[in-house]
Amino acid sequence: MASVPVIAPWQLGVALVFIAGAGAASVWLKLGLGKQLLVGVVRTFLQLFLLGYALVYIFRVNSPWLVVGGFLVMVVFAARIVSGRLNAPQLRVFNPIFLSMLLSYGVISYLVVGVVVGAQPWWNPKFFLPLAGMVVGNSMNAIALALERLLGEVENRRAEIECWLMLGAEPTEATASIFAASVRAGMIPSINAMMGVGVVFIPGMMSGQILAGVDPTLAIRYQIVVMLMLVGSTTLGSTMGVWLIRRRLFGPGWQLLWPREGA
Amino acid sequence: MALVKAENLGVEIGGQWILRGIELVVGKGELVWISGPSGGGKSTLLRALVRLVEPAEGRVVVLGKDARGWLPSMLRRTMVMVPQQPVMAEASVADNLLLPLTFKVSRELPRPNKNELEELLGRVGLGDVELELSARRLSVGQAQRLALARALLLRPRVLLLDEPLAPLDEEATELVLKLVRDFISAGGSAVVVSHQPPGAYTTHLQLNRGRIRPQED
Repeated sequence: MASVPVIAPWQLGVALVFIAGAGAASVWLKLGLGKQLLVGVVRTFLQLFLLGYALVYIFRVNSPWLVVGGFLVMVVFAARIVSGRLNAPQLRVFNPIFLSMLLSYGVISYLVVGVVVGAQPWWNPKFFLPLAGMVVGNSMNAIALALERLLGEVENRRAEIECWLMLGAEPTEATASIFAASVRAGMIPSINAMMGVGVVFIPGMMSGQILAGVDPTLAIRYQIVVMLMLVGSTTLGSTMGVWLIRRRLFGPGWQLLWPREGA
Repeated sequence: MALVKAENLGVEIGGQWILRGIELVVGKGELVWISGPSGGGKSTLLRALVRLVEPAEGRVVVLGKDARGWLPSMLRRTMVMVPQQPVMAEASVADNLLLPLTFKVSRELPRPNKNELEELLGRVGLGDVELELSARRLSVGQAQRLALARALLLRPRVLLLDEPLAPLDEEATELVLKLVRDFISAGGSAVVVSHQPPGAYTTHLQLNRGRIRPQED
């Protein structure tokens, strides 16, 4: 494996020139993004340094509990981000989102690391954490898209849903087409990504492996696994998320509770 | 025995009482007419009868059994509500008529053939409408009558009609009233929310600000 050039602290500093350029543009064009840029840079440095040292520690200790704990922390943060994006406090969406992420991402990460890659043991942190991190990061967006679609459609098509309920439909029947549209909305980005990969863009993981000296023919195999696992995790995560949140939209008498009447 | 009874029914939405102290009895073969100013709670009353809104107090009893004890889909098939602005699926007239028969609770009901559907359309004054036509292309008045035909296919015991006459011209109004009369003569019952009397009625309730007003007629 070729040695990887080390990026010295002064070289990291040089990379800040891009931010300086963006900051200058913000001032010149009156974009008002100066503060966000500054906060973004500080957070990028801080979060990635912390992650780097945390990973060094986890790799050294090599404990399944730490690996699973790290995975749980990622899922909790992802569920918080998606819950916040939905802005529907009365639905109490955190628990169902957390549950659907935990189960779907857990199953997919285990299958990829333990079965497809065949890492020994399955929780080997060098494989499990980067791959699970990609599952969580990419699929989080899919669940958010699916749930935004679900809540938006239910709000817009409330009269239609109620009309079917009046005619004896069960909630699952009255929202069948919305359910499908929502899961589809979650899955489309990962399917589109398969269309463009290698032609329109070189994915970050593959680029990273090649930069680290891995044979590109091996890097593509990992990338293929990643693309396929993302389709799996977005499908499973979106389906579970939409299924669980849809149940919260109806009351015990199968009456539609979202958006709340009179609210 | 009363088919439907509302006992001291109250509905609260967003901290405001929309209905309070409602008493209502609908017997077999009876037509109850509900009138009153807009925003008086008429539609909410119909919705509460089929549990589309949950009463905050009191209860609804249907065929001797508390509405909360019914499977909601069976309750709504037994007592079908036709809203003021019925929705048509993006499908043909025929598919819209048959749609409720695809729901789990109604799958055992007989599926009408093409002739029976055409005959039904004729009864609601839509004899010139093709079964294959997209239902979304119907006028509001036509859609209202199609919705009534769709409800009748479920063979309900009680029809709840929310302003069924509002979008109709004189001829269509007469047709719908006749249809309701026929339904009642065949042993059905109906609760009709309307500004004008829906023909010969058994009981008239006037709702104002969520309460039943003393009758003047």
